Amino acid sequence: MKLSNVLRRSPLAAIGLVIFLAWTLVSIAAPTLARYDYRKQQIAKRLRPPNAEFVFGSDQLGRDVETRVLYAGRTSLPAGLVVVVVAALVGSSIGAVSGFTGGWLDDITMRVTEVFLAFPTIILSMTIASALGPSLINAIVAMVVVWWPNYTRLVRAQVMQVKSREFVEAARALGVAEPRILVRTVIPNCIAPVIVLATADLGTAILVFAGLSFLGLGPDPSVPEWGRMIADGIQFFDQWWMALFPGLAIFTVAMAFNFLGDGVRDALDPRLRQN
Amino acid sequence: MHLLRFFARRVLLTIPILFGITLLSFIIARAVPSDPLVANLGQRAMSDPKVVAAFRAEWGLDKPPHEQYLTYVANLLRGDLGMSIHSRRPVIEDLKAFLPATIELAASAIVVGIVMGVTLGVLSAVYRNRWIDSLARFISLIGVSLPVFWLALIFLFIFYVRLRLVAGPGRLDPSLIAPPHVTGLFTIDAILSGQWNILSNALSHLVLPSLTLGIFTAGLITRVTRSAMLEVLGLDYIRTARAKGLHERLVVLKHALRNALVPVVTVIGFSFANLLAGTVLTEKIYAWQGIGSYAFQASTTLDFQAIMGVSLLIALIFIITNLVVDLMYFVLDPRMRQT
Repeated sequence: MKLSNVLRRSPLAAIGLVIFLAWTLVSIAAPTLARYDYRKQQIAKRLRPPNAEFVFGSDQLGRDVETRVLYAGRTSLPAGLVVVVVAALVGSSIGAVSGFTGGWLDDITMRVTEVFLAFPTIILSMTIASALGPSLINAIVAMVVVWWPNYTRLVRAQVMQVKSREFVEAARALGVAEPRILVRTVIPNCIAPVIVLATADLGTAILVFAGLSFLGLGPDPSVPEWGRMIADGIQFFDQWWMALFPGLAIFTVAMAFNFLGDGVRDALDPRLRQN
Repeated sequence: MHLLRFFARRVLLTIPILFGITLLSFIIARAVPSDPLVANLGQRAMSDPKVVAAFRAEWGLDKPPHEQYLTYVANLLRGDLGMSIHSRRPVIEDLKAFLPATIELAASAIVVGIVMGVTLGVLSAVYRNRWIDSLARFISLIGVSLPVFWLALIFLFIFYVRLRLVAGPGRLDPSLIAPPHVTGLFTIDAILSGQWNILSNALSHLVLPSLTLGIFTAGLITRVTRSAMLEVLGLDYIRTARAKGLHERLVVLKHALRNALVPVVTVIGFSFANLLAGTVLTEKIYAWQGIGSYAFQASTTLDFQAIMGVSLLIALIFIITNLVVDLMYFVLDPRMRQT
C-alpha cells in the first residue's frame, strides 16, 4: 500500500492526514506558538471570555486557555499512539497463532480475551488508575491491558476465515510446512484489517485517554490535558469557552484519525475498490 | 443437534470465564500498593490502631489474600456478593438499585444507534459515491470522533440551559416521586401505573443522554453496515439476482442486507455491552444514578467487593451478549453450521 494511493483515492483521508500533521507540528512548536507560560496564573483576569488578550478566554485560575490547549497535544498525541501500537503488536501475534493452531490453545486464548474484554475499558482503567495512583504512565498501562484482546479476536477471526480458503489448501497440497503457511500465506492476507483497526483505534484511544483524564485519572492536574480541562470547565457552566476549545481539540484529532482510518480501509480492501 | 451441542459447550465454557473475572478483579483490587483503608477511613481514624484493626477485621482484610479470595468465591457460590465498604449495604442490593437506570439508558441509546446506523449504512452503500454516501460517511465519522463527555456538556448547554427544550440532569425532576417499583425503568413503571406526567418527564430526561450515547453508537454501526453491504453487493449472487430481474429493493433488503448482517450483529452486540459499561462518563455528566456512577464510586474508593460485583455483572451481560451473537451467526450464516 502506498500512502499516496490512499490520499488520491480518499480526500477525507488527505484532510485527516493534514489535520494530524498540523496538530503534530503545533504540539512540537507549542513553546514557540503559545503566548503565555501554561502555568502562569493571573487571578485578576480569571474567567475572561475570548478576547484579544486571551483568544480562547482564560480559566478559573486566570491561565490562558489557548496556551494550555496547544501544550496538551504534547501529552495526548503520544499517549494515544503508544497505546495502539503496543496493543496491536501484542494482540495480533496472539490472535494469529491461536486462530491458526485451533483446538484447546484457541479455546484458552478466547476465554482469556473474553475475561479481559468483559472488563470495559473505562472500568478496568479506572480501577487500575485509582489503585496505582493517577498518572500518565498508569493511564497508558491500563489502556494497553484492556486494548490487546480486540486485535487478538480480529486476527483470529481473519486467520480462521483465510485458512480454509483454496489457496491455503493449495499451499498445503504442495507440501509447504504449517508454520510457513501461517507466516507466508495466511498472515499477509490478514494484515489489512489490523492496519484499518489500528488507524481507526487511534481516534478511540485519544477519546478514552481524554475520558480517563476527565475523570481525574490521567496525568497530574498541573499538566495541561484536554480531558482534564473539560472537567474544570464543567464547574463553570456559563464560561463555555473553558470546555469548548479543549473539546474541539480532542474532536479534531479523533476525527483526523478516523478520516485517515476510513481512507486506509478503502484503499486496502480491493473488494471495496471502485472499478 | 449441532446447534444444541455448540450452545451447551459455550455455556459450560462460561463458568471458567466467570471465575477468571473474579480472580482478575481480585488481583487488581487487592494486589496493589493502595489500601482501601486510606480511601475509606478519615485521617484521625487512621492514626488509631484500634480503629484500623477493627476495620480490617470487619472487612476480612486481616486475613491472607488467598483466604480472602476463597471466602469470596465460597460466598459467591451461595449468591452472596459481599458488602460494599462504601455504602455499607450488600453489593447485590446496590446493583439491583443502580442497574435499571443504566438498562433504560443503554436500551434507548442502542435503539437510536441501530435506527440511525443501519439506515445510514444501507443508504450509503446503495448510493455509493453519491452525495448521500458522502454525507452518511461524514456523519458517521463525526459521530465516532466526538468525545462523549464533551458532547453531553454541549447538549446540556444548548438544549437545557439555553433553549429549555428538554429536562436536564437526573432521571426525573426533583419535585416528582419515582413511580412504584416494578422493573425499575421509570418509563415502563410509569406506563404500568398509568402516571402519564411521570412518563413524559422521564422521557424528557432520557432524550439528551440517549442521543449522546446513540450518536456514537450509530457512527460505529453505520461504518460496519456500509462496508459489509458493499462487500456483499459486489458478489456474484447479487449480480445473478439482478440479472434475473428482481426488484432492486428486494435485492438490497432481502438478498444483500441479510448476508451483510453477520458483522452488523457483531458490532451491535459489542456496542450494547460497551454501552452498559461505557456510560460512566455520560452518567457522571447527566447525574444519572446508574451502574456507571456506581462503578466510578467503587473504583475510586477501592471498594473491592463492589468492584468485583460490578465487574461480574457487566461480564455476565457481556457473555450473554456474546452467546446471543454467536447463536445469531448460526441463524444468519449456514456455512457456520458445518464447521
